[in-house]
Amino acid sequence: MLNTVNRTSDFAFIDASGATVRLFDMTKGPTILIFLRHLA
Amino acid sequence: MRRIHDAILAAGGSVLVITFEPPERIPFYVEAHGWPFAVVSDPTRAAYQAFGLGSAGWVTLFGPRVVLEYLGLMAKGYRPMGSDSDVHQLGGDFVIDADRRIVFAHRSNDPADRPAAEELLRALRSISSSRPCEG
Repeated sequence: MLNTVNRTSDFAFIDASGATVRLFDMTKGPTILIFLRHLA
Repeated sequence: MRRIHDAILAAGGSVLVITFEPPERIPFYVEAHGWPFAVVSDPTRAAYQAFGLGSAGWVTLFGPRVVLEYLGLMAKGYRPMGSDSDVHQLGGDFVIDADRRIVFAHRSNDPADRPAAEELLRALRSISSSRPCEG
């Protein structure tokens, strides 16, 4: 389980346009990450 | 929602919402709920697994705490839109600092188990207040 989201544990996500974005590109400073359940 | 988001921005933070739903579903839900946050998809759930987010069984999903939570939401006007997705996957909330250290972690034990927004905001402000002064 992660304690630090370091360079080796960066993640690739897909945005609404279908483009791949990386966590590090989206989090420049302190960030709240909210993992959702299913969308309903 | 807007008030909390403004407070997060004022504390120097940002919010990234992650779903495992297909990315084409994101715009509909963002508009329906009026989310002011960036939302991205993790369809392989690689991040869900890495952050240690679990799965709830049927007994948990229909436990009294969850039923009460949803009844309360429905009393406030919430109407489930239905889903053909995995209803067992649980969520979680994390606050990471600028060095990507996880300074706050909450892994849901059931669908109703989420921290209050104020709790996340406190964690965010604790980072801001512990930052060395510059200048």
